[in-house]
Amino acid sequence: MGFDQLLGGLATVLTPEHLLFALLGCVLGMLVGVLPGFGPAAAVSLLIPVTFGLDATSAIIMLAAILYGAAYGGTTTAVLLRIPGEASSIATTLDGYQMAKTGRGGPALVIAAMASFIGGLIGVIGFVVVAPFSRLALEFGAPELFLVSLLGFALITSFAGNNPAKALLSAATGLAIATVGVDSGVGLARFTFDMPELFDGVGLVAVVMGVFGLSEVLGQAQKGPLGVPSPLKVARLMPTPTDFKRSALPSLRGSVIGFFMGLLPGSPGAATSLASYAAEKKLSRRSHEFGKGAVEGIAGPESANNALAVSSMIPLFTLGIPTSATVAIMAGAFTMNGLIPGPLLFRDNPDVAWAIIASLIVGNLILLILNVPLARVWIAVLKVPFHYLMAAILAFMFLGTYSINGSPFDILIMLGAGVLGYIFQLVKVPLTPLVLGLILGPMLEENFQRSLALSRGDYSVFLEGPICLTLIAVIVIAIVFGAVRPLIASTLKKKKSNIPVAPKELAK
Amino acid sequence: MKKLTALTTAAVAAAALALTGCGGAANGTTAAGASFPKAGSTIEWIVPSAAGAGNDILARIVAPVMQEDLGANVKVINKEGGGQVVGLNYVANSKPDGLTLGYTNIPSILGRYLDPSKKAGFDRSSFTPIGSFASNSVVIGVNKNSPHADIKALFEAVKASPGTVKVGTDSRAGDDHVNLRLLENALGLDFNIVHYNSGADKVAALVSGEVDFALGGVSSFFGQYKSGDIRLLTVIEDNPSPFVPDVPTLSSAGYTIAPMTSNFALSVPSKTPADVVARLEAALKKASENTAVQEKLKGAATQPVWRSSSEISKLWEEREKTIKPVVDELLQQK
Repeated sequence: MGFDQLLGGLATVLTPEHLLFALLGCVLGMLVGVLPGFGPAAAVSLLIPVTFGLDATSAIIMLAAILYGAAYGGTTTAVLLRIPGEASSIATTLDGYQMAKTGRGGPALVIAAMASFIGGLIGVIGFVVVAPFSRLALEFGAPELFLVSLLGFALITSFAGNNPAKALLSAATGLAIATVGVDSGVGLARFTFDMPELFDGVGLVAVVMGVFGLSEVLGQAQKGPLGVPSPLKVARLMPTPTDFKRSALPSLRGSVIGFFMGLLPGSPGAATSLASYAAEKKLSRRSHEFGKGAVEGIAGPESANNALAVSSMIPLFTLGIPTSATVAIMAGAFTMNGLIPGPLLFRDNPDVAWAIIASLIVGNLILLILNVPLARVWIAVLKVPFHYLMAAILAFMFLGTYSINGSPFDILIMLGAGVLGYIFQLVKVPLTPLVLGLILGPMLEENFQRSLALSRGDYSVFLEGPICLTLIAVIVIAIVFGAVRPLIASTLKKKKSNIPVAPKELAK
Repeated sequence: MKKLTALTTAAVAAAALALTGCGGAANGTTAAGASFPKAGSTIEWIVPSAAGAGNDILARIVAPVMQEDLGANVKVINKEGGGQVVGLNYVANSKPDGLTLGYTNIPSILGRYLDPSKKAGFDRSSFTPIGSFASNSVVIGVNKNSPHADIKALFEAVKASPGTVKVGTDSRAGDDHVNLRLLENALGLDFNIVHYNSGADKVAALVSGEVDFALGGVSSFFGQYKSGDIRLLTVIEDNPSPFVPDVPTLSSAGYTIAPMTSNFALSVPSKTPADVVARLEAALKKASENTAVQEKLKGAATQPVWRSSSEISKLWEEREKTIKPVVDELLQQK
């Protein structure tokens, strides 16, 4: 494997025919992705039959394009309407929507497109470099994944605003919601009220759309006719040179974070983009601007998300193992086209394999070229008076939530989550920790149970191997520096003066 | 030209996509046998799992061909949830007019209603099968570095230290789990059964060596078998599988176990008129015999095999008898 083959692959992709299918995939994916709730997985699986008449290379190039096109579509609604089309766009809502509200929706979308492109590009370069070693990712077994999810809880401190107690309340609520369903280890039904709809737990996308999207609609409605703001002024479309400068490093860092998280089994997209957000907030000299429209808060997570989308395909290409639901659909597309994903792909069909990898670069470039001018079209949405726009958003959210599973029950979940999110905002409880709890809870619990099942109840399983020990060390450091030190610092500060603390994330 | 057609199809699909969200339940009028299905009517094929799951992809291969034969739309609809119970409930409670059909895979469906805690609103009597278009042989695989050369060596190792040999499943109380318990009971074995979240996670655990062996459909191990990461020790079937012809059957190793093959069966609600069932059965049979469909199924390491409505009814009844005691027992212990 190497860059020679990648160039060969590029040559294969740069034929009018393959380019056309990449373009078609990007456009279809974006259109589908804009519909809230309609994630990449559903889009690809719906469009699989469309590719039946094509040769294998064209078919998979198109399906891959649909995949990341749909992921990009989710970004658009996250920025403009604060509806994360899928869970991994949550981080983008935090600053993207704030930018849109202050008339900087154009720059937000353009920066998102550029950061996505950088993420995709770095993802592909990483693909070529790391692919031979991808077997190492399998060293992350149940005990390691348990520790990774434990480490994920350290992220909560970054979304806590100035009140750790409220952040913990939010995270605990998320964890509590995560307990709903039949537990995967021993089969115990918890809070399911004998309703089969709840056996698999509460749908993440429905909760996310409710907590972020619906709560915003309710918040706007509460202001009443007099409080309804006039249509947003759209200052300029292109980001300023400062925006670009501020986005450069976060995009690179985000790409790296996303790339490595994508290799792990499960590839938790939402947690990864939030991790990138948290990292940028920690590293930035302008951390007080986060949550109020900092471009870094878009560039990091968007590049992380796209690098993850690319690197999560590595285990499929090299080992034949899909590590997430979305990649599993790609695996299905391979087999249906007579290709066996895995090491044999590079031996038996190297042309196809490298053409697909190269198409990831081309597709991301197409998305970038499409999205810069399209940003102008999208932000036109914001010129619609808010009271009309909100009604339309509500309709789309119902439609989108229903389309996840064809289930009216999910709409009820979305409504309930919306009310909860609205109440949380009223009392200034941050929303992101709730979603983190909801995502990390099941990961934590399942891998804990699985580890102990493997070791037959021996807890020392968490202390075995270099990866576990390293993770434990990192967790200890995260707790000391993330929680204990700020606590000491703030106690000292309080004694000295009564400086007002930075306003809260998500507070209006 | 072919490309152009594909493009047009893609464009049409995109337009159709905009409408999918609004689909909902088809309000078809009751079809009277001979005229079934009315031209232009829509038949919903309910897949009780997520879009992109193994059985979903198979449905999307078969549905277009059935659609051509029936002269009505055959739309694949995913209704995930409750470990397939949500989707199966939907089929069982739909109007018995032939316009709603769904997967009732044998034996998967048995575990869904034999376990009362799953609150399934159906049992065997709720459905009339229309047939099964494909099957998947069950195999046992180990990591390429496993010390166990054959199935006998593996089972001897299990006997030597009961409860310590680790085996992964794709879910608790799913097919893998039930099949492992059947093996334990029949052969007097005791495994350390560890549950994963999906077939892919289970395969990953086997490739990494986190578990000692795994049991499952041959299609789920096929890629890693081909690449040599996983060795298949046996196929639990009367005859070797055409996909892995050199893997011996369990009976050839001296163990007598009934075949565990899973069948991709479709059913309609039980009150559906017989002539409507016959029409659907004919369409499914024709689709399952279509060369292009068969090629695609084989590509997914799934064996295209036709089993008629009556054969599936019989098989369903038989498998229910063997599996019920195991499910009952599962409820009391591991």
